[in-house]
Amino acid sequence: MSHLPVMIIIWPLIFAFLTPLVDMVSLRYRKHVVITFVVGQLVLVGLLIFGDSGGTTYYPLGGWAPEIGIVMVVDGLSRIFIMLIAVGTSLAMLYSLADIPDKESKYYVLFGILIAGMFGLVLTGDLFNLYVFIELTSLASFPLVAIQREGPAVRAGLRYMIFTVLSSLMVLLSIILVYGALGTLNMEEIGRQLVSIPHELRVLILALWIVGLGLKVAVIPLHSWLPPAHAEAKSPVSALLSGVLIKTGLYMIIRLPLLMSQGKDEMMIQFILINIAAVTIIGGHLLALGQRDVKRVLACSSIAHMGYIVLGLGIGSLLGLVGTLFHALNHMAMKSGAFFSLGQMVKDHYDFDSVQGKGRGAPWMAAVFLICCISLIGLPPLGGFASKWILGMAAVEAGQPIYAGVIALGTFLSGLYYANIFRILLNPDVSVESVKTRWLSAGVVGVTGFLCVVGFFAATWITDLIKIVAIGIL
Amino acid sequence: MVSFSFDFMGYPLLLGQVDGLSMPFVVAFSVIIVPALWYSFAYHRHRNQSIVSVLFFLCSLGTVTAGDLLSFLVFWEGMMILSAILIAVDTGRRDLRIGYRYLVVHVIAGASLFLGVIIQVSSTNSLDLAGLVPAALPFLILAGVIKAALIPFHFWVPDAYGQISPGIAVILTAFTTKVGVYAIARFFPSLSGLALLGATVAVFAVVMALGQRHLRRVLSYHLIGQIGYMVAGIGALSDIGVAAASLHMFSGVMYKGLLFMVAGSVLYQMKTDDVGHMGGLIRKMPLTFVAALVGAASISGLPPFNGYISKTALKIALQGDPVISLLLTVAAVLTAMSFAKLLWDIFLREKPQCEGGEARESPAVLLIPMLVLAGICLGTGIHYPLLTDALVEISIPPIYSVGSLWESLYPVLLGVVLVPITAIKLRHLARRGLHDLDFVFPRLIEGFTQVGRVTRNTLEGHLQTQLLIVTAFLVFLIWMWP
Repeated sequence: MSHLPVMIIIWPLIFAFLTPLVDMVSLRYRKHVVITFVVGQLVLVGLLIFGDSGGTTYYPLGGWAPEIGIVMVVDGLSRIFIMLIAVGTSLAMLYSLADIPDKESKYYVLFGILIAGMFGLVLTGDLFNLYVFIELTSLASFPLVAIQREGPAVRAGLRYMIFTVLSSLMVLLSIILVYGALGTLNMEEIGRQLVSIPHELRVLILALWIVGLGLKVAVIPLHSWLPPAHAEAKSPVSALLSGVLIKTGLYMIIRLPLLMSQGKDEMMIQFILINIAAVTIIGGHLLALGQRDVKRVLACSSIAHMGYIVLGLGIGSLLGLVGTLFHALNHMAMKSGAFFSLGQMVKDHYDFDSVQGKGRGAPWMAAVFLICCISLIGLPPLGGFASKWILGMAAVEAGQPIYAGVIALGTFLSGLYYANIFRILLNPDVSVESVKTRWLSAGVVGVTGFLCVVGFFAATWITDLIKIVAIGIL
Repeated sequence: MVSFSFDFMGYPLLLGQVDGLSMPFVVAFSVIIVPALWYSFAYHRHRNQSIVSVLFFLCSLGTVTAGDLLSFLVFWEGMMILSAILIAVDTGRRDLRIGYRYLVVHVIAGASLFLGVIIQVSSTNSLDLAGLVPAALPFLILAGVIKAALIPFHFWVPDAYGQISPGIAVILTAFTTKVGVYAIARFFPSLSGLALLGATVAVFAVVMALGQRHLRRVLSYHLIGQIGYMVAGIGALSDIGVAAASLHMFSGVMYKGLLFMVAGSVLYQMKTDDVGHMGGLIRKMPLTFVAALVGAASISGLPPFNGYISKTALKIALQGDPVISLLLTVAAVLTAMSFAKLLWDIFLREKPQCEGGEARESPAVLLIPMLVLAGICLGTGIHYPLLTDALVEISIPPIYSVGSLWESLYPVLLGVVLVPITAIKLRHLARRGLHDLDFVFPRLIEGFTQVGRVTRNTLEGHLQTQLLIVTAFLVFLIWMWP
């Protein structure tokens, strides 16, 4: 039995507790530790994803039977999210080396715990551990938002905490209800037996899941914690939260309400999701249009993009699910890239007045920012276009062309505000000093830009892979 | 032409497909790019601008030779991004808002095309360019109309081309709107009302042109007017109509390119393109004057220039419809009037206090492409089988007959004679009555931004309100569940 699934969770924890020890000796070794960790993580994840035939693997911890013990499940869906988390966190981690002050040892501790929590979240096979890992990621992410210890960041972190705790409470309540009704916490068992729960109780559980997990993915009207939290954090943290962390909420939405319900319930959930998604796309873009701060615009655009992602789930077809997963991957690349490159152009103060002309100080970073934003708008030849194309096709094929219209309207609205940001960043009337970029950060930014391009030109290959997974899920 | 095909997400993409419809576009684009690039060297602030220009040219070629909807869409959006970059880089120092408005209006076209293509592809499950379903049609029409700058989406042309440097203008004007014409010809040639729309656009645009003071804005409106002619030709609903429209597209690309180059040349010397400040340039810039004369004669449809050939072909295609013919004749009269006035104001009249004291003939880098284009205008006009037989296959009666000559001469004579009488009245009409149309769009953008602000203020409330909303949402879900 390969110990890879648990190794993947333990490896970032080792890193998290090793970093302060190494820092006590000397700060000089920080870079080596971080790079070793990232390489190790990528190797482990690569072995896990591509190491076997791709079927479902069970890993019972300690050898206990799944019904009574703790089991980790590696199936197609978890593989996709593991890949997303591994790539997104590795990039953010490398980027942090240049962006985070040397003294902040606890930044890396929290970061490691957060990574471990996210991996655990997508690997665990029972509800109780799911809850444990949700709490782990939450506890690690509030301080990451507030790491600057300044007024707005702390306020944003606090607000983030309140909503996350609310979400966790709802999930916990639903877990209690499920356990009370079925006497098991194993997710596969629950999936089989959920129909046997009385109707009223089942509705309560499903509604708690939708709202509790909807808070995690920040769909409108459950979004209000996201703009301040993602905007006030440091750039790598913003990229991590926008690009990776909210996708774990998506994983849970697929795993819990969508895959466990059947028949009428499933139709109802899809109906709710598709309408929330449409409201989220338009509302999120309008919200972004009204902002006067570049990072808040990007944060609000994340809300809208979660709308696109949830839209594919609401459509409910195979193509819709492929579009969802593909757009989640693309969004990780392009939103991280946008935050990374923005962080290189502008060091602090992201309101429109302060960033005037800053793009001209670092033209290469501005170019990648442009690529990422064009991809976010959804124009070819970049990844955002490919996944929006699939989502639009899925909407029309499912007989709901109105939602393809929502996607097109979203494209228009995002064109409006991204064009405005370019205009401000490239403003030629302000004199700016050129900004030096460290090679590591530049490399990370370059990789994200490259991923945006890959999302289009390798779309055939990627969607084929995702399709295999999606067929396995449905 | 080489053709490629590769697979994208289960759909075969076909590139480099040239048929009878795309051939004239490919030829026109390939011919104009050489003098246009040459000319633009004098203006480019960056060597990157030339690279972007070439990419833009390749995207235009890709659009008109795309063999399927998806690659058409990809190249279309590529053109949009590249042209917006060209404009933004060019106007940067002066006004970034121009690039912004240009990008926004083209994003609308792009989003509309995206939606239309998606509807089409998922209803027929093929990327075929032909056989459009009715549901997809409105979106493709919107995209084509915006790109081709027909009323009421004409405003972006004077807005952008009226202010960018002529080096960029000669490149952009040659391709962008023509691709819109191509889309119209390709996707909905049998749409009713196209001929009337085209003829109306032609008259409207020329009236607007009469009201302008600035050379590049005048030419921008004439560009829209020429698009109107082409659309009218497509709207004739016959093979000869489409062929005549393609012919006119070729001529239009040549003489509009030439005229924009003349404008650039004048601007280069005068540092202003306000016609009111010019005069007597014929002695200082004789070669530019010759080029301007050729361009003006071509656009007015005078023999023996290529405008004469294509306009005669258009007249033959449209002779069954008296209203359209009348409108196009009015447009021809007004075009001649506008250019007679322009030539007089810029080159011929004596204006002692004019500011062009140090003006002299433009350098060779500007002159040579102009003269090349003038040569093309004259050459294809004289040796017209090059156009009518080689470029498009169109069988028309002898072009240089007395009847056709008179048909093309009398609107011009009428226009020249009427200049002093009606030009002022029309200018008032254009300035007062119709000018406001051009400012609808910036206000529309402003409106969307307002909606965004309102949304922000509504959705980013107090913590208590938001918590209440979350709870209410949970209760609502449970309550509405069947």
